[in-house]
Amino acid sequence: MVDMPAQNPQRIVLPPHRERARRPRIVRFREWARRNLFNSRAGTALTIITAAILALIVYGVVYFVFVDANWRVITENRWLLFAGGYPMDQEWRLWFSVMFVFLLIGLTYGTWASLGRRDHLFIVLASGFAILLLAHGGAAIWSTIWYLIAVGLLYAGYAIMIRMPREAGPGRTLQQRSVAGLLIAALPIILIVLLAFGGARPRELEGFVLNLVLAPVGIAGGLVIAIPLALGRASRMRAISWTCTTYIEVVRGAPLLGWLFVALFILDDVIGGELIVRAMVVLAVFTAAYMAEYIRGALQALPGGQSEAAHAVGLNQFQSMQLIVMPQALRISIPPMVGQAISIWKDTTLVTVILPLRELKGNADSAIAQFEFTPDRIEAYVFVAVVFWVVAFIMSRISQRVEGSLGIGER
Amino acid sequence: MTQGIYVALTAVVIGYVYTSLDLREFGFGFLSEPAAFKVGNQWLTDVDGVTNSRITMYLVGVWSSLRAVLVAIALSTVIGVLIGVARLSSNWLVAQMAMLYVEIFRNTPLLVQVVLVYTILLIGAPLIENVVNVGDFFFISNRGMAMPWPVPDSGFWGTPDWFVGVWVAALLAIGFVAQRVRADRQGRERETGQPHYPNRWALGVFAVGAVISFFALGAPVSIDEPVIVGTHYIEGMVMEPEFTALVAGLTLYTSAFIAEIVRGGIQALPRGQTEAANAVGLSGYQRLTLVILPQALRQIIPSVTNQYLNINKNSSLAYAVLYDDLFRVANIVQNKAGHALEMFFVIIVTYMLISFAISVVMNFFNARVTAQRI
Amino acid sequence: MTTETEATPTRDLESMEDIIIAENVDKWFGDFQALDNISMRIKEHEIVVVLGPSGSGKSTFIRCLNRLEEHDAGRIVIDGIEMNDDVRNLNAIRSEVGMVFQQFNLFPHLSVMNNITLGPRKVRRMPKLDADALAMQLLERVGIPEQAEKYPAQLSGGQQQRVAIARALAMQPKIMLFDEPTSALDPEMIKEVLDVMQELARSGMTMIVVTHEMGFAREVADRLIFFDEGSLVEEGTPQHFFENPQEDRTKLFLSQIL
Repeated sequence: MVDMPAQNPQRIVLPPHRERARRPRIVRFREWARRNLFNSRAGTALTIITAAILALIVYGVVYFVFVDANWRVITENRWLLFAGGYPMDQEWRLWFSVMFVFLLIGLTYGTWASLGRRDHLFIVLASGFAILLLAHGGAAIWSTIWYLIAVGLLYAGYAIMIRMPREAGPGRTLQQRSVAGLLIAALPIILIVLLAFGGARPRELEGFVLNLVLAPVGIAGGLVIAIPLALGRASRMRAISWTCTTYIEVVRGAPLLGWLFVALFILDDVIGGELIVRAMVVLAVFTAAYMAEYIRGALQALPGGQSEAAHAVGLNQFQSMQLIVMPQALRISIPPMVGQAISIWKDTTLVTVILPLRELKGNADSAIAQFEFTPDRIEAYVFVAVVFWVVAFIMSRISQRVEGSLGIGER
Repeated sequence: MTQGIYVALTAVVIGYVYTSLDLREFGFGFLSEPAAFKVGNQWLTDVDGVTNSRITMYLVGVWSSLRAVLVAIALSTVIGVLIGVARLSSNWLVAQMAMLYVEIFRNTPLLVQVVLVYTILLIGAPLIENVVNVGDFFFISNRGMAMPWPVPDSGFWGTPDWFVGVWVAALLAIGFVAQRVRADRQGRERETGQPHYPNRWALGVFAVGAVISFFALGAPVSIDEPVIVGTHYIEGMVMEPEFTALVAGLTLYTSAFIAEIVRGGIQALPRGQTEAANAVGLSGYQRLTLVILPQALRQIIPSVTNQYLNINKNSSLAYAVLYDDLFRVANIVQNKAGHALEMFFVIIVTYMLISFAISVVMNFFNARVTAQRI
Repeated sequence: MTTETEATPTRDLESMEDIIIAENVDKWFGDFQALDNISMRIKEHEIVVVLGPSGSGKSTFIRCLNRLEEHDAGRIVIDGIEMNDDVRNLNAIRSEVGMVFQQFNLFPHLSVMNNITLGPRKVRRMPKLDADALAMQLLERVGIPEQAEKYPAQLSGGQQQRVAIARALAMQPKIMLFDEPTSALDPEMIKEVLDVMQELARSGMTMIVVTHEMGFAREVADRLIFFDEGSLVEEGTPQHFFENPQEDRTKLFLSQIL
């Protein structure tokens, strides 16, 4: 070994930086405000106008929420909105599912991300919102306790996982594999808990529970169909690529409502079965067409050298797909896939529009159909909007954090 | 080999679907039978459904869909670009407000937005008995907004209604002439170096030509002012709450997505472009319209086209607020006459045709924007 | 090259007015102080070359001179116009100060001609014909009149930078700022840009140039300024700098770069 030269003559090496004086916080705040709020006369005017509009909106919202609105339409109908026709004596199945999902969220966060101050704040706020709803009437104490146990499970799962070492190794692999396996198994487990062994009949899934069942089924089913579809469209065999292309384009050609129309009137003759199952099939088939396009986009974005390199090390076509190409393509396509998942989450409301299935929005319609609550239509729909917003927000937040820790989008 | 198995399998599946459907009465003849139902939200059409065929009623529904889609596309583009630019404002408060807008409207279901707007319009607006009357020509109530509107007229020569068409044709011809005048003046300006005011001349030629031809044809257009009779508006243009709710919902929802697309397109540009524009001395508005947006459009247009296609498909939510768009009319026809398969076929073909038209127009713009390789 | 330098008329800078005055300028990026109490005066027609290691604040300083960065404290006066929050002052200053960037920053969607005429037409409201004539004149001055109708992507780096110089000159500025104008260029293209800058210097333009081109600094500059860690460490004539630097940090820097 020859000694390396002490420094590369081309590189400029500086003496260490001297300590930079920290300025007082108030000085920095004043400077920040001047630069971001009052940077010119026009900027100041803009700030004042915007602040005035904001004040008006805040006033309107506060007045509506605390003075004008009658929230009894929600609190009185909370079972209807949440579970609808689900048999009340089987309530424990719902709570079990809630706890399971919260535990999963905790495990996922603990494994691939970490909870920041904002996340804690969000959990506190969302829990306050939930308890405000639950802490009314008969079984209020018990529902509150169940809910708090669920939050406790979230933190317990998180606390266990966050303490595991993050360095790559057999332990980390085992941790990741088991959490991922649990995530994949979650949907079947929950469906079994909800429906099997004396649980509800499928048509008794209603209200918010129905949204919470439909969306994951649509997303998971869609993904399962989408992967072969994307590969098929990219296939060199004419017949395969042609049928896959036709499938994708035809499905994307009509709105989801149109396909639900098919579920109602046409699929009856083809696959039969419960309407809710047909709706699930349609959701999966519909989602698949969009997801296949995202995967195809990701496949095209992959450098061609990847599959060539895979062949060069002796992998066959199938192995190169399974080990090299697909993992990368799925990774690239995660952000648009999450967008699609959120989109499907919102679209689960559409089953109410033409099908006789009552999810959250549909049961909100039922709630305000009661004579007592007809004046409270706005309250009911605002509540529905807020609930959907919260879940969509959680979905986008989790995916952002997990994407961040997987380094997706940083290429 | 694989291909053969695949084709055989597909054939089996198609065969199964084919045999399980009841196709004995398959056919489109039922569409030409009399409709026997009414369709609301008509504009510029006047069909009562008694003598009209089902296909006519369906086309009226298509026209209603198109109206909502076009208005929603225009509004959501304008608002989306504004919000997207505001997201990147140097003013912190403006940027935060824009973010709030995006987060709220992107993460709530479109259905709930449409229904919520509709409910607010019905509950919040005054009853027609207490209508808000602006100068006897503009009305707001929970039956909608009514305003004056030009309609074909026999004019003072007593000419038939289709003279409006003649006038529109004349306007096109005059526009062509004005365009020639503009090009000619521009050419002379280039040659002589003296100002020849091509734009002012073209505008003047067009205005004078329009007025002269209007009166030469006997003023075939008159203004129709709305009046309230009983609990209904008659005449004028009426924007019903159903239409407003649908368009407002589509606009709020889609503009949030367009805002994110615009923001992404702008952020993808190198920072140096903004700095160079500043160094040249361009104002904020000039910087945006002359330097930033023309470049960002390359990335924005394809994604925005997708949003326009979504507006087209999402317009089917009209069903939830009882706006008689194509999807709702198709459902009514299906309820009356059955033939679900045929009706679905008609629906999907219609949506695809509209999507195709949108794509053609947007591809034209895209080709213009990407004509220069950069 | 040397003969050219000797041909440069010796200018009587002493009698000239101060066109740039900076007094006690501070600039912070969050907790990081990028400029620490910078004061300097630059006379009309003076050619100043700014040296310093990367991150020393030299680019930040010249970007403050046309407000691509806002300074936090102190004052900057350009040609008698105070640099403050007043938009009119800012516009007046930006039309007096031209800037050339390391990465050229040409507008890729506009032809060379339109790149140059954009400012005059939209800011100065110059008629298109006059602006086009001006642009052609400038393109001839930077030696690429035949490229007028091409687009930036079709030009070499050196040609692009020359267009960028023409674009800045089209606003008829009194001062030109160059932020490492040759750092992004292939070696064989550096000379064509430096030649244009040298010609510009001879024509009497006031120039502030951030560069690592020591040949240019030695031959063209009236004054050299050395920045380090946000402070102005040393200034003087090229002769002083290259033959007799005073400060240790200057010596270290020069020993590494020469």
